[in-house]
Amino acid sequence: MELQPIEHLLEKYDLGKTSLAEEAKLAAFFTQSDVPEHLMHYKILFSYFSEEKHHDFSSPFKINKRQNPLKYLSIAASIVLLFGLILNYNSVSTPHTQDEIFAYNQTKSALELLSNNFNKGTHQLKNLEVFTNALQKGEQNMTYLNTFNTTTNTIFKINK
Amino acid sequence: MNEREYIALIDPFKNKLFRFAKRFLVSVEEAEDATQDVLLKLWNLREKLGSYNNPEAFAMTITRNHCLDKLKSKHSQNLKIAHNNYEDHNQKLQKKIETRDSISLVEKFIKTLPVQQQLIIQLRDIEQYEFKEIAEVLEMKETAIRVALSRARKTLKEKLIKAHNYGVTAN
Repeated sequence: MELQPIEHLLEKYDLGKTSLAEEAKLAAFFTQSDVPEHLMHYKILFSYFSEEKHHDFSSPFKINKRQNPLKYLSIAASIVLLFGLILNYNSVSTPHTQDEIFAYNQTKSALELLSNNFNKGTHQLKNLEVFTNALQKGEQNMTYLNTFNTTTNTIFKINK
Repeated sequence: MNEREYIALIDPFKNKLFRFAKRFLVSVEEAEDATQDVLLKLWNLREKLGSYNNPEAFAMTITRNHCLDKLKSKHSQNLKIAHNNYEDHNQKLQKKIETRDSISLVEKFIKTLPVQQQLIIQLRDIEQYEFKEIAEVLEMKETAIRVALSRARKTLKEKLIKAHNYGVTAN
């Protein structure tokens, strides 16, 4: 291809006045192998443009991308819950060491002693209950005494 | 519009959305996330999408707005944007450039341009959009686009000539 029309097009190109068809012509010219040395910078430029055109969007389009933001949260929550249950179960079923068994028995006997004493205490409380019952009876008798008192008073008043 | 029809509609331009997002955002991962978000947004607008006479330009506009929002929220988090603080640390390396390396150099040079110019280069020189379509996507006047495009092309040319001359003198 003759150089002169190309150089003329390049002048227009630099001024932003070329049409798409003319730019395509330039691009075609610069993709060929033997480009004169003084126009090498254009070859670089146009090679970049044609290369850049092939930089494609690689990931496929997914419509459901973020339909459910709670989904992952609920999955995470259920995993945590599951782990919690497993760990809890394990800690219950792990075999006890001798020290632990000893401590357990000691505590158990101590608590037994305590509850026995408590029972004795409640036994004593029964006596107290009898006493309160008696006291209540006494109180009832006091009311009788009271009525007796008032009646005697009225009698006295009448006599006066 | 069902899923298959929708995918058929977006398929011709989904890569363009991705590359456009890549101009705004720094990493490929971010651009992929943004594209995924935009495709989801468009899916929700699918009934309207069919009524646009240029769904592609509409999709590009949505991508632009989405990326601008992302950048805004980034700013508020005090994160730096790579294009704005791009610095060229490998002056010496440039002296050894081969054609292969110089192609990746173009990418670096583009990143030194103002964002607006980067987007115009992307839409015009890479995606081959008409000026009318670029005007629609970027909400700019065609004349302003031509001016910015010319500036961007000249800057890139100068930088490449400079880099290339280093290469020549080093050989």
